[in-house]
Amino acid sequence: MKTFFSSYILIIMIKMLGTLGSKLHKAISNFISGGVADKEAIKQLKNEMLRALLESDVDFEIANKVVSEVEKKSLEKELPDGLSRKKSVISIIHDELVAILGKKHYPITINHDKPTIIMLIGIQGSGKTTTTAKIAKYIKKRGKKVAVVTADNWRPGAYEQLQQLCSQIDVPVYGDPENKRTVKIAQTGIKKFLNEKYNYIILDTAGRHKEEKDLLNEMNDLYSKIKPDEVILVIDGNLGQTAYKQAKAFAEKTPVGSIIVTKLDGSAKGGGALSAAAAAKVPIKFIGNGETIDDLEEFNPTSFVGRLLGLGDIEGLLKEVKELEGLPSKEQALDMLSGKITFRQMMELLGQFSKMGSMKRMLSMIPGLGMTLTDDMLDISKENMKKFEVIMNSMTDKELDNKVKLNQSRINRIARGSGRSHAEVKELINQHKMVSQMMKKMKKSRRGGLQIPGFPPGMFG
Amino acid sequence: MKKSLSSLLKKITIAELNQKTIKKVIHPLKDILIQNEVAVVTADKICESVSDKLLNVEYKRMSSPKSLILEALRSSLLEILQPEETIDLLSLVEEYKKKKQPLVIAFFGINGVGKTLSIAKLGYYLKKNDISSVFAASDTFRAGSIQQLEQHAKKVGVKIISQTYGSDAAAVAFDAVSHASAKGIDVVLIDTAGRMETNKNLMAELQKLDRVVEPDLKIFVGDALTGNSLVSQAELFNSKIGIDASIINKMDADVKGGATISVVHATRKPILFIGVGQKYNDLKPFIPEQIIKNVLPDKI
Repeated sequence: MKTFFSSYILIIMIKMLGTLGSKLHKAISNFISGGVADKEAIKQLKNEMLRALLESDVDFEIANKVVSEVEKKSLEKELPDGLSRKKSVISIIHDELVAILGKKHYPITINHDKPTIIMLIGIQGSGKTTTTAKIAKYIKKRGKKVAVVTADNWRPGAYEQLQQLCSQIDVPVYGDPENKRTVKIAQTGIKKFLNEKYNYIILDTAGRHKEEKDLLNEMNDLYSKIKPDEVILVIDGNLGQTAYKQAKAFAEKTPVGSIIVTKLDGSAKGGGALSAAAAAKVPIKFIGNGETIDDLEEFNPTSFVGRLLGLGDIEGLLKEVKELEGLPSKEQALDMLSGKITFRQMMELLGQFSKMGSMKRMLSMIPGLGMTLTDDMLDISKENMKKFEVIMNSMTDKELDNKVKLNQSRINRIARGSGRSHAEVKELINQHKMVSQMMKKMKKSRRGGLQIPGFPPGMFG
Repeated sequence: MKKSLSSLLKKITIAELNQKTIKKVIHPLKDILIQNEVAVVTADKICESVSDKLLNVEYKRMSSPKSLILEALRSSLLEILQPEETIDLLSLVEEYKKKKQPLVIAFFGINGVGKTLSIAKLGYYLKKNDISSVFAASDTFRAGSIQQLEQHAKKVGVKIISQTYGSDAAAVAFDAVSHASAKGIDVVLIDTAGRMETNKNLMAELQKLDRVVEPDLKIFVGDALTGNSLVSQAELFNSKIGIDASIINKMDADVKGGATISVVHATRKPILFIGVGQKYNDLKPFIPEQIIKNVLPDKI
């Protein structure tokens, strides 16, 4: 919790110093704060954008097409002044990519008059079985009666895996790993659960890839016999340039309805999933970002695009640009970095946060970080920040400016004045100490790129 | 890649090689490498090496710029794919047999890259070569993993040492090594749970296993379909645990093999095998020349 609070401050300061994020982030920052958005500036931005997309595994052709389109549209639009042209460039990037991904969150198919059958397909090791259990939990949480059938009679242990996962969430599983007739297993399982009046049945299938023609035919066979209401293609977020043709091979055999991207909790950026969405011409519905059964997030195209570009939330970026201008100057920030951060400065930062409104948005602007925080953590931190603000309101000017040492009698007074406990006042003091120390460390490590505890080195460099 | 590269080289009409003309060639070359599944950072490095070679090339009367470019590219790729250290698994086993010690091999990588199947394939390969092995079910985390390895062990005809889910991975591996030592089994193959390279706690667990059993060979298992994150996977596993060799799976899924170039470039360690299918004999030796041959035209 403490670490998160410190992270807020660190993040803001890094932002002020303009050292945050990728080359693209810098290019965009320069673009926004620089001179006229001319042809040359847009071209430079285009090149950085292309590289960012390729490094995120977006298909080569798609990446080139998108950035060329951005360049073209940015130049042809007649706009009154420089700033709006710049703003329009960022929104064009966003819109072009979102057009491929699907514009909103598409809810999972639910039939109200009859049971719904969902079938999951994908390459070996994409995470179909884990995702099956995650969806089962997602649906169960919404009050539906859900059961799971596995037609994977190929991979050893697949049935046991699903059983173990589903026993955690009390969802029944049907499977028959010894049976060689895949379609028969699926039919028997689905019939059994339909008779038992389950209104949601998820069918897990064996992994297969583009070159395994027999297995692709088997998948098609399954599809035509089962007639699922929705086919979901599970795509490994690590997939590279092969994603497009793999997804295309699946979509040509079976009408894919949507995509779920998995393993987005590692270093993968998910560009392969964008290629897959383009190949199958379907939206992405969920992302999987962890191994536990709850690690399933509804897809948010804007934050996904931000991730692809290494930018976090780019809409937020635009909105926040203006507000960031109100933050302390670079000199003040450097002063803080020298380790002399005062309580007052800490409070100013807190004030900025409340002005900016959603902290989650602020955090989601930081590449990679938005994904690692849960709502719970954010709420605790927010509460803590409010508490600190209350305590600091009971401090004198001298205390706030670090001019006097906070001895026991001052702590007593502050605690009385703010109506908080001694322990809470001390927590604030410790927090302040920790932030100061971190600033010192940060200053030392500035040359070699910043490192924040818990994050990979170079992330903010 | 073959087609696009030869069409690129055909278009080159430069008469002499200098900084400017080389730059002109390098740009499309990089694009082609990226299109053929080489990670962006790796493609950068290869192109640097190619342009250095071309700048320092000594002009012979008979050599055309085109063949010089092809030669520079070929040798740069071969340099990457043939790291200094090589591993001959069968003679390594012999060596350990003489020492009357089991050869301990640990497998690691992210989730879903085919670690467990690779172990089964390797157990099968060793058996074909009259080498006994035992599997250690040290993936005590993922649901179904122990059953998966058990069923493979049964089919291949190899003994498996396992405990229950949630038990200590290092302890299972240690038991398997003790078992092998006591029964005179030649090789111990340790399966570990897939973990995201960025997950600190799970990496620490793997480091513990490394400290406790001190495997003789640490094998990174990667997936040929992986894009740019393969480099960070290989680099993070290499820096946290240390990699002696790699196995790249799913090489049968219509891939160009760019992934092998990225992995060897990132680790400087050889690729021990490639996985080319779901059957036990779908484990093939990695032949660097094969990849180069797939990738480059013989002549222009």
